[in-house]
Amino acid sequence: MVAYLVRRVLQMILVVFISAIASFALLSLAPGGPLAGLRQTPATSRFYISAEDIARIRTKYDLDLTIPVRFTRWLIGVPRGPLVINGKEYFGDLVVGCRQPIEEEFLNDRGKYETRVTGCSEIVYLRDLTGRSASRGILLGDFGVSWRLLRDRPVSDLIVSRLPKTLQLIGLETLFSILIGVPLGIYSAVKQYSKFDYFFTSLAFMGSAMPTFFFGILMILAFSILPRNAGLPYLPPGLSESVRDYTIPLLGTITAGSASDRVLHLILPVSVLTLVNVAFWSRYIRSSMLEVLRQDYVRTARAKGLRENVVIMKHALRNGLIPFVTIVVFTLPGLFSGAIITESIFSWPGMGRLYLLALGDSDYPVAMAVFFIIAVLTVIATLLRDILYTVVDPRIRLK
Amino acid sequence: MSANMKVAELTGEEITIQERTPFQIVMMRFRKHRLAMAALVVITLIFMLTLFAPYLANFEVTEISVGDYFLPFGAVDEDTGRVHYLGTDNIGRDYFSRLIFAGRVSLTVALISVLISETTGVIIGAISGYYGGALDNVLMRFVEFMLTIPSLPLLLIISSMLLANEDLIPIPAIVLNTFGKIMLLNPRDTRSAVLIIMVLAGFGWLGSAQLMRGMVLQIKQQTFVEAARSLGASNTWIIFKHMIPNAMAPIIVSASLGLAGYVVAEAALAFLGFGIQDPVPTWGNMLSATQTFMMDKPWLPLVPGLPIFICSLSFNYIGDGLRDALDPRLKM
Amino acid sequence: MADNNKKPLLEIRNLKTYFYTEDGVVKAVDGVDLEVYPGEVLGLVGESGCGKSVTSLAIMRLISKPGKIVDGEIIFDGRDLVKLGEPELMKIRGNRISMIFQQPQSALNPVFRVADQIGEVLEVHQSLGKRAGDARAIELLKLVGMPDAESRAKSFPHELSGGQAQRVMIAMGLACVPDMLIADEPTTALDVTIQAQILNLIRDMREKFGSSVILITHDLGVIAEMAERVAVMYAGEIVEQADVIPLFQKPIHPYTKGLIGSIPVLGRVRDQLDVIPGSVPNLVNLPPGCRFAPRCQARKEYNLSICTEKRPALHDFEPGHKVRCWLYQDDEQHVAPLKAKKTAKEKK
Repeated sequence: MVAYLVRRVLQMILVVFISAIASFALLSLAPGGPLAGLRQTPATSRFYISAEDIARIRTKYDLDLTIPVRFTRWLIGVPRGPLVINGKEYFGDLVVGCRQPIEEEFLNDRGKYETRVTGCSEIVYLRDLTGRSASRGILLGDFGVSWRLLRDRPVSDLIVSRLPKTLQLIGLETLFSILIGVPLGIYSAVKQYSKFDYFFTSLAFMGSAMPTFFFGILMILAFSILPRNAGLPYLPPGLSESVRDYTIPLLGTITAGSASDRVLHLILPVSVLTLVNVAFWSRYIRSSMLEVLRQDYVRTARAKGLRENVVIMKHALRNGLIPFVTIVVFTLPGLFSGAIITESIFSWPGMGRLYLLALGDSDYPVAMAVFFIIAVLTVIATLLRDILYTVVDPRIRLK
Repeated sequence: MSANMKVAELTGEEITIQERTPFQIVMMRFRKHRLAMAALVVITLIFMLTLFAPYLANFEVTEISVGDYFLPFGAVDEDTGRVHYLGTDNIGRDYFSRLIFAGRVSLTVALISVLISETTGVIIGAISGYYGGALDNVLMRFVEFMLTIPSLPLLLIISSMLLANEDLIPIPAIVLNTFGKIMLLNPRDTRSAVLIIMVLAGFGWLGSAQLMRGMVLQIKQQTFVEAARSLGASNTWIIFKHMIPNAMAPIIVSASLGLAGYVVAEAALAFLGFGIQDPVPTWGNMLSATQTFMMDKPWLPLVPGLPIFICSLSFNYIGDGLRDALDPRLKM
Repeated sequence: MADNNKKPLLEIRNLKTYFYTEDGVVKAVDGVDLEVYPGEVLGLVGESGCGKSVTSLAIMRLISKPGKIVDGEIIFDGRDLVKLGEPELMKIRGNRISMIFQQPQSALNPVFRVADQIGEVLEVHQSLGKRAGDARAIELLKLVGMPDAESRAKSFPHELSGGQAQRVMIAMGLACVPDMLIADEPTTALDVTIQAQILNLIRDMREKFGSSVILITHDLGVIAEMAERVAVMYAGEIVEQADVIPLFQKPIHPYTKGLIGSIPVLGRVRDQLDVIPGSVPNLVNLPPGCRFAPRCQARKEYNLSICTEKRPALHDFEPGHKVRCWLYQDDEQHVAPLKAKKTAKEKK
């Protein structure tokens, strides 16, 4: 058991490390970032940007450093300067980047001009890093500073402000969809071939084919825009709370930011996610229960003279929930990554929308932080699943 | 053996009495699934519409009728007398024309993504399952991990990177020209469509590789593989002549379900702004654009939204019908 | 052993159990008559798919959708099980009639311990508590010859061998000392050496508890060894029923003859084993006359046309020996070529 856990944790570290490299590499390949749109302009321009300005910004965000150096600084916060042993510096002359690259324009083979770096006018050495501000590294929970969304503020500030909103949304949604979906799935399986089962499976089938973004828009139309235009009570279509007070027929005036305001704003996004996931969970549980219900041991349980609900709720369900329990842990990454599409439709200020904004705005430290959290949580969920397996299924042992 | 199993066993004997080719049996069973048949008709219609888009469209995709914004369904263009069957959008472009050209792009992207991802998945899965060992271990660990990561953040990060950095992956001109001709796009716009195909197929093969590997492991147990080997068949021969054909049924089902997935995924990316971008119409970016105006024009989102839903639902039904037809044991 | 003066414990009359599938109505059991006397071992034999298991599940009233008992009575201890409601049935299942299955390992619930699964029966039918149930479970395991019963009681089913799992099933079946035990192919899935042990165990238990046993199998060897009376099933109906010795020594139905002829006998050299040509008919579109007619050689020999036209009834050929065949039964325009008296003469 201990040996197993040690081995799994080592594996996890490896996977986390690889996904860190992968996400970092992907985003360092992409252009943009704080320099997007910044080009050296003539001194006469109203928005005069000198070469020195650009160099300063490059330095500030470590963009002057070579990718491996940037990566280790992003990951674990080193190097912060030359290696010092007994007061003596080592590797101080190591070239780690270029503060002022020489760029020239070339006509490429497709007839377009493109800029290529041809040299360097100001090399950065390892000793220059001394005293430069650096994060403690993403592995230690320091995600660095945001480039654009909240310029120069720690990424963790952004995450801390968004996380509760996502936890609220996804937490409620997961709770509701499981509480509704699991019993529906069980009932549908037990009543296989009944009218209810037929109706419900058709509905769940359509629900699972329905794209979330279209469903969200339909829900906004049906419960917000159309009733509002018709002067009926309606639900607010977006954001997590209102900016100013508003009046809803029958409900009266809602104070911005009050508890009722927040609840009203939660209803639509939570319903959309819940309905979509009820379709998923119920189908999942239904097929898992159908599989179990045709097993020999269920017949044995009936042959013993047990009541039908004991057969279902004890003998069948206990087995039918084995795959469920192990897949349910994978909602964990979602708790933090949010529901990107739903948050986007409802302008819900959660992690999913943050991720989208960060990608759209080339705020890579933010995007990388979110992605890294998702990857780490996925790895943790995998370990949790394997441990849970051994708890719920006596046939499986850790080895 | 439960009572249900008994039925399957008994009805299985029917085959010995009625002489039909396997294909006829599959067709017969598929025709029994009425919704799947209906879906097939619907999809064929949509395919026809997109196939004949150049002849059916009254307007160019990017043609702007100045001043004719948000015209209602069936409005007539005063200067030329052409009809805007589904009205116009916020800058005066004809909805119907854009919709059928968008369908052409969306369906092509989905089809090609499925072709690439299923082929890749089948080959990698077959090799992994057939040879086993360390290669299998590493491959399947990787696949499993990728499948557990929430897919949308991953798709977004990759497509945002690729779209922002168009020259990162060089795409041969012949590919661009061919796809451009299919989708009726200029090579520059085709590039973004091809990138999206790469992103979608790049993740789509994971599932079918896992499926294929499972099938191969099952088939490997069976004696005809032993027999083939004892007759001196090479590994490649066994994989391509025995493994892959025998595992085709679930792959075909997964491909038709994959089509639904890709139509939705492509639309989702475009909807979120990380897919094919505006001047090229796709159902996803058209839907995204309607969001701004749906306060006053609540019917607008339905125009591009319904085709996405209908395609997704139809491919799902077809997949369901195929599953019933190809592998009745899986029927729920 | 068939003492006809005794009152049968179980009496099945004209039982019909159909499965309503997409491909049509599968007549898995179509007019079965059968009786089981107290304390006897009745062998129910036939090819797979002939309706043996469905008959046994019908006795337990465990036929589930799309199957249905459409006609007939199953009279057990004076009550018709077909008409009983679920609450009464639950008092009978596992308590007065219990059943053991072909695949012992998959018949045990993988997530519960052995003792709990045995104890559950006692909990339901004898209101035994958890601790008393556990103690009784261990006693029962010892009784069925489970080695190291105390620790095995705490095992999960996957930790047992096939033979051990079947012992658990038997212990579970006998926990409430039932009047009748239905054993559906109890040894088919086991190793040959284990098979004998399990059969011996069933025989011992029958003697200890005095329960009747319905032993369902396709293995005539098992029947010969275990059963006192035998019913042969074919395509959803009983075709012959007799005490075990007459049946093996003098089978009369062509199908039974074929079955017995297909057993290789040690020490007897034959060029080839007798094989019944053809296969079991499709139970959706059954032949109009005798169900065995399409495969029957005797019908051709005697050139009978009635066999493909009219279904024969199960009738007494000799006291205690029933058969369903036109060779032995007259009809309005049909004279049976091998009626009972004739064969009696031939015997001399």
